[in-house]
Amino acid sequence: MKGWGRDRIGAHVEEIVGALDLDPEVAEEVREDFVAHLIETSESFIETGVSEDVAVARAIEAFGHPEELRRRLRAARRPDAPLRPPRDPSPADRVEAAWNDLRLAARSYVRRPLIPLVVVLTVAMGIAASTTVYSVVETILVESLPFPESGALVALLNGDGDFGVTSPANYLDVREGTRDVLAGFSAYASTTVVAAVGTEVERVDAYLVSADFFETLGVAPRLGQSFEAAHESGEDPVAVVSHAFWQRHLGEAPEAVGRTISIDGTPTRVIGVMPSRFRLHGAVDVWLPLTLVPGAASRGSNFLFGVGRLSRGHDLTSAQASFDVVSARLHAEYPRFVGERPIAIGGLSETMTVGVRSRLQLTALAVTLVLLLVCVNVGTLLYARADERRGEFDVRVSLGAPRGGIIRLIVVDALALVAAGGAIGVLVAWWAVGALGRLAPPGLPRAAELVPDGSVLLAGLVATLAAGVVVCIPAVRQVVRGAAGGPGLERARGRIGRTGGRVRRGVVVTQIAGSVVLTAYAGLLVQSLLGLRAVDPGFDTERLVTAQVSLNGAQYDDSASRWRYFERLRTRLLEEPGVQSVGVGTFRPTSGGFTRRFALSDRPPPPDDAYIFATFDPVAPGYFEALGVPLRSGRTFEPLDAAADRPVAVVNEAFVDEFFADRSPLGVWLGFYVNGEPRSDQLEIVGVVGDVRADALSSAARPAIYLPMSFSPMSSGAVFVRTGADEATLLNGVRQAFRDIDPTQPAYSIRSMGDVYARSIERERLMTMLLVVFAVVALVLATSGVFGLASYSVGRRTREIGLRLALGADPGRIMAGTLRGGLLNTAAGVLVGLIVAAGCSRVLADALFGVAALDPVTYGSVALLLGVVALLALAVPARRASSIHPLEAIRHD
Amino acid sequence: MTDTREGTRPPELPRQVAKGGATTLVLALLADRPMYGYELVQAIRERSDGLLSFGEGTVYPILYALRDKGYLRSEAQESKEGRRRRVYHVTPLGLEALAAYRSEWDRLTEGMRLALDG
Repeated sequence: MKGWGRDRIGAHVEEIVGALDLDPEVAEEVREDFVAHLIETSESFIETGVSEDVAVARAIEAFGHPEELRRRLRAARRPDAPLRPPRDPSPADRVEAAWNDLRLAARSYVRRPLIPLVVVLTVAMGIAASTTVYSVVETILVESLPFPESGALVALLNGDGDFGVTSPANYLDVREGTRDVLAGFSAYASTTVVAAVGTEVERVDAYLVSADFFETLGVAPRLGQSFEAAHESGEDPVAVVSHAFWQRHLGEAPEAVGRTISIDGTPTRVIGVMPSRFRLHGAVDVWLPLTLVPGAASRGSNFLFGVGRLSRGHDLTSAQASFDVVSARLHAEYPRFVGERPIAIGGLSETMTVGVRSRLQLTALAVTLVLLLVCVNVGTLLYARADERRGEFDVRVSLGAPRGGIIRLIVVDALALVAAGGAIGVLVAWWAVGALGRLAPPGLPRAAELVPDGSVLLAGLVATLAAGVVVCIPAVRQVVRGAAGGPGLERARGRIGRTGGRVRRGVVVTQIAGSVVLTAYAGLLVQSLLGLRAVDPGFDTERLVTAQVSLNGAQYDDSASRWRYFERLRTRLLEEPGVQSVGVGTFRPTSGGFTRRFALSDRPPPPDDAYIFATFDPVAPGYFEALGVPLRSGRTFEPLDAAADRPVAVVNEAFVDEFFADRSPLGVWLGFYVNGEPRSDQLEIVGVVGDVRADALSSAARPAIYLPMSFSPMSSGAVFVRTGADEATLLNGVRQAFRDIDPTQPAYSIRSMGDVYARSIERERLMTMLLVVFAVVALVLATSGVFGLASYSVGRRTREIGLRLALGADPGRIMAGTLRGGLLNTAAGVLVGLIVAAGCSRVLADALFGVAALDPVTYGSVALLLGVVALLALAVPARRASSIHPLEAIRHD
Repeated sequence: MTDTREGTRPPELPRQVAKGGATTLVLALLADRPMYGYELVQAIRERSDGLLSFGEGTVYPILYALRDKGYLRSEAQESKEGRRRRVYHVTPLGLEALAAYRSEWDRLTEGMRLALDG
């Protein structure tokens, strides 16, 4: 190296050392060290091929800033002065530092993958489960009200707080009498119609609505117009169709408005197309004006639902007061038709959920618990991870890293793991929701609407990220406190150790308690579902296909034509290959039916205010045989009953129990009432058959009267076809038979009876499935919590345990000690969980069938299950504790 | 020339143990084998990427401080090329201090592994 290079180095060193007030001997020593170092560094650069000038410059640069070196040399005179970074980092430095943190975290994931992997999987599981469940619950159970100012919408209620109905005449009176409190009060009734556009014929769901129906809801048609008051006369047949119908049959053409289609054979002009998302209860394709002629409307037939909009300045209470006044007047004028109890209204939104409220509460509770458990678990794992990296953090602080940098390190680490888990969870949820929509069992309601909802997924992700950030706060606090070091370090560590221990135990107890609640509820629901499936519906559901039809049009106005239709259909269906018998009734089991007031010949007619009633079902001969309903006494219907027009009836066992106690009803005559007046023709009870669960599997059979269809053929019918062959192959044959008899009257809801029953308990099945998923997630989290705490505890006590073993302690006792600690936590969690589960069991009561909400066997089994699971989770760390080698303990902290 | 400035006090942990990471590292490396400054810097660079990113020269104040405490002694040597170098050795007191530091640092396993093992 040339002289001028040395000179430059000497000058640089002098610049550093000369400015310091050092002892001359020390200063000389520093000069020697620095010069020697810089010369050697320069020469190493020269060996790489650079010029001496460049080499010296690089060596000086690598040596450090003179001011920084001066500061450190001064500080070196003071004991243990920490090294500090030379300047505050710039924003670019911060980004680079964060990137470095991420790289460092990634390196540590590879080196110690267990905790990161568990965090990612836990978050993924939590996000996937909760997001999927939220999407399903949102789509299937939560009916949203997409109407402007929907809080002002009210509905007519029945005595149970559910949607109620009234008669057309009552509706008109109520509408008139509540104009002061309601800005609109509309009536609607559900029906089905046959819609024909060109050669396409389809039976569709329809609403008959009062003219102001859309206006009351506050939704205008997408195309065309809504109904006007004049349309209520029925003189000008018009219809508003759904967006789906418009797409399906009218080619999405704007010119569809004004086009004439056929509704139940009547040429009807399309005047409007509704927006695609418009719906009140369910999907409806056609809205028709309700024919309402004041003075000619029926008072006794209650079939109209009512929806209203509160006027500004009025609330439910003031509106109800107005309804009370109208109700009292109607009761005074028409006591036979209007009861003493006032016509009630309730908020539309609340009424929508009345049937699913308890289930929603339960689902919300379960989802919240699962999310809580996920957050707790992730928080614990991040805490443990920070604890594991405490040494690294301390080194960084000791080397001058700012506290903010450590916090950034933890947050970057946590966010990276949570984001990875969240991304996986969202992908799984996206797939799961789509798969549920595509592969849903036939009975899953609204399955077609199950599509991944971006906003729900986003909400789930944001919630988890927020939770991730929040749960890393304890870890940040712990590390920063610990890294403060100094004499306080040991104290701080002790405090944190004690606090951390309590926190960890609390977390595990919470996890176990949460999983006990969810597992207990899942267990109750599974038993309930099994109970429902085991219910005898009262007939043979195997190899039975059913279909429904609703006869519309002038050709079916009279009873004789309807009777002929069903007879021809029955005969035609018997020709299908494999068909053994065919039954025709009016209602399909699980769909309920009409009830009628009646009187019996062996007792005086009951008074108006205490009349007796039973469900009423006109059926054709062969009905009981086709369904497999057993005959208990007497006989069923015979073809001659229709031919001879013999007035006979068959009743069920529930009817006999209710009205005849131990006597036989055979030979007794019964008569129905019409509009409050007894009908002159009476029917003789000739047989008793077994009970059929007509409403739902969970509802006990009600008294039922079957009468020959020839006596009162209804316009709608349910057909039952018993086959000796495969049901699936019969479905098309049944559909074809309907077409053959009358192509203008298509059958709908053609399916196997097993399918009908599966659909009838679909809500229960879905609910049970959700709870089981929740319970499994909770169990996994609790298990990992128990395992994690025990492993952590054994890890912390490695030295102590090892020493004890080295001194001759019994490994069995060491193992037992570890198990005891874990099982005590489990016992505490189980106890808390059982108390919470029992305390909140009210929310479950409505959803249960055949099992008590406080069923001790279920609760006991769950406690046992948790004990076994905990024992299995504890086995590995306990075994490890008992086999720690003394040498390992000595090397360990 | 031999320069021993061993103190008589027993080794005591620095007031702020956690801040002694660099101290421990230097002691540990020198306990492995005596080195002169330039050599030590290269060893640190090899074993802990970026630890001295704020300047190679900063290792010298640490060496001086350790020597003042009696944990190191320095010895001037002449290389084959005739260069004067100050080689630093860990004293018995320094080894004791290092053991105490190690015991403390062992708790900081992850970080030390990063720093010492690369």
